[in-house]
Amino acid sequence: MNQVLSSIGYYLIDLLIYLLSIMSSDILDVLNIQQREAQAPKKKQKLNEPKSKQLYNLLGQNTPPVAVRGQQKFKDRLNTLAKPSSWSWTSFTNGSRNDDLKLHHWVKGSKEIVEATEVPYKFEKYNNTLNIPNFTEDDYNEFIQDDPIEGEEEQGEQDKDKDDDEIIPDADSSEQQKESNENDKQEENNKSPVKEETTDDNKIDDEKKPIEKQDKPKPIQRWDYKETRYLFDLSIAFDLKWVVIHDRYNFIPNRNRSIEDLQERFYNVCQQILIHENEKEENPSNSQNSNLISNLNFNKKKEIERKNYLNRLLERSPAEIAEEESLLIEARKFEVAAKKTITERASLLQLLDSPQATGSVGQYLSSQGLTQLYNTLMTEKRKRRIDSPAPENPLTALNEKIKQQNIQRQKQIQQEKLEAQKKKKENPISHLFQKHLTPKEEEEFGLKIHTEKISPGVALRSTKITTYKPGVQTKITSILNEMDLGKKPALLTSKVVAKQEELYKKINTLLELKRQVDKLEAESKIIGK
Amino acid sequence: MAPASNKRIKTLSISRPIIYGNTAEPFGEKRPPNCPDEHTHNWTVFVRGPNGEDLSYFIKKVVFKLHDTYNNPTRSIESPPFQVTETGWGEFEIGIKIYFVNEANEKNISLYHHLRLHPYGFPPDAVLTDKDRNVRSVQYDEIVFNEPTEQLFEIMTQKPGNRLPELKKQSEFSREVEYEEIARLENGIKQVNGEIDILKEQIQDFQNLKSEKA
Repeated sequence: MNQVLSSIGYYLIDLLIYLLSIMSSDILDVLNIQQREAQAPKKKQKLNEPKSKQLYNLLGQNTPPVAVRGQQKFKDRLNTLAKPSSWSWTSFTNGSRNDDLKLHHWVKGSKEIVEATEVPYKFEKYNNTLNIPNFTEDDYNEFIQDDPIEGEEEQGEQDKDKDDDEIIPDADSSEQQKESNENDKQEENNKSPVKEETTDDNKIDDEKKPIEKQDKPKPIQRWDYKETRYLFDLSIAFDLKWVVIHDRYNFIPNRNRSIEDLQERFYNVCQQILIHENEKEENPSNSQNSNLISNLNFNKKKEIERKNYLNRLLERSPAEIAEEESLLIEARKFEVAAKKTITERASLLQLLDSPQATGSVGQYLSSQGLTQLYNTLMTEKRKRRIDSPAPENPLTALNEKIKQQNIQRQKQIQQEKLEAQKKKKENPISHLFQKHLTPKEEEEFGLKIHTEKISPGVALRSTKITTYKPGVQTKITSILNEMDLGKKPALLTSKVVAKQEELYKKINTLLELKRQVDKLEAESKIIGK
Repeated sequence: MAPASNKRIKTLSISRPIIYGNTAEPFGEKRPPNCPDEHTHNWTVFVRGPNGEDLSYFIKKVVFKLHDTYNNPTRSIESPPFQVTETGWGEFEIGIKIYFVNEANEKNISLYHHLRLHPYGFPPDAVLTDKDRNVRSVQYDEIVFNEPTEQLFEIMTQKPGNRLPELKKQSEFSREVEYEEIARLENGIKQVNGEIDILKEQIQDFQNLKSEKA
């Protein structure tokens, strides 16, 4: 309807344009305004122009002073140069139909090509049926038990039936065998699909659980051939969609079988059929088959439990869900914290391990060594106490330092003054000597004026050489030996001793630097790791 | 004797060089009389100035503690020359205690000398001359008085006592030897300084690495 209207509208516009164009030329004639000479050839062009343009052209030279804009525009014309592809209306047969119904549909491509190539109907392939093991009543009687637990009467009846069957001549049974063999072949081909489908069904069941209701435990009801047949027919009809099967299941009214009952029965029978086939086969260790058989174990109890559990999960209240989530978050927090502490502990242990003992323990084993160790530890402790005062405002600390230094300097100056005075007063000789002695003379007298305080007393020069901790001392001597300075100097004059002291000090700093380098190296290794 | 003054001169030290040690020579053809059969060497242990100066102006006495097997093993020598001459067959450690004059007001100092009779440093099958067999084992040291008493200072400054001969050939303890020692030690200091610089560079490298990583 719409299309018709719009086409009528277009037609009207065309007409209007035409009339107007005639009219405009007439009006122009009347008004004696010269038309453009090129109007005649333009007309052809005009037909190709869009309608809006044509309408605009009617204005002639009298263009409006203000361009009217922002108005609703018609949809843009398709501007493709490509040829429209051809579609053809062809007939087809649906292979999955039993009748030869011919239907038609549009297919891309020219008619000749489409008719030349016969393509099977696109949706044929989706017409699949599940391959469900089949059985006859005889099969049923032969190897399928009625039910895991069945009444004795039933058994007796069956036995009778069997006896009856046996009376049937052999030819019949062989025929049956042939049939079943054929069936087997079919079923063999279809085994894997069955497996897939069973798993699929489980999934479907999972999704549909809410629909199901928990069944109360009921008295076990016997299965017989007819009901089993009914069940299999239903499962074939509904492609093992258990919910539907269960919904439609109405073998004996009022006999309520649960979905799990149906499943159990179905899988059990399938399994038994497969086992039977397996036995018949020449090589019973057909892995595919046995695989399938083990897969067909259906645990009804577990299934019910699983569904109950899922039901419970679904029926949780929002509060419960929130609580669970918060607990989960807590647990995750704990996990993260535990991981953190573990890493921290590891790094701490590494730190504790890193300073390895430099010297052997042996030197501390004697009582002398022990006291020495004690002393060094005590001095270190004291040093540390001095070195590490409580953290302070750095600015005030600096001020105090400067103050202290000033005080110390003043004290020193005072002391020096006092000493100089004392010397002057007490010791005219030394005063005299200080004035007149040249360094050389001083040396000849063995005199030395010290700047720092010295402890009074007499000693041999050789005993005044500062000694280091035994561990350090041994290292120093080893380094001296390396440098070929191991021998005691032949002449221990004050100058030589001073030099020696300097050397020892340097070696000591060298050792300390070495230790620091080792430490940094180890650290960098740890970081590198 | 005048009572020793306890007044000390502050921040001043005065030192005197001494040498101590022993000389030893085997008996040779003539053995001294009254000497035990097993003795093989004559030896002399002494304390004196490097040039044989008399040190009695500040040393009152020197006590040599010999091995206990000697008769009267503690020999106190109260006047120069401070030395003990004995015969013997074995080497042992001699304790030497030097006592100072009363004016010094100082305790004694003790030092030890290992008596050496046999030359060493020769290959075992070398034929030794008599000169090689005459052993001399001497140590140089200096006695340092820190803050000496005024009286001792007076005594010590009577004459310069710290003179050493200039050249090696004059004495085994000469200025030349001192200079050599100093040069040797300075060389060592130079070496150590080089290694210190290398280590410092390494530390700097490590710290740079650390700051880069941080």
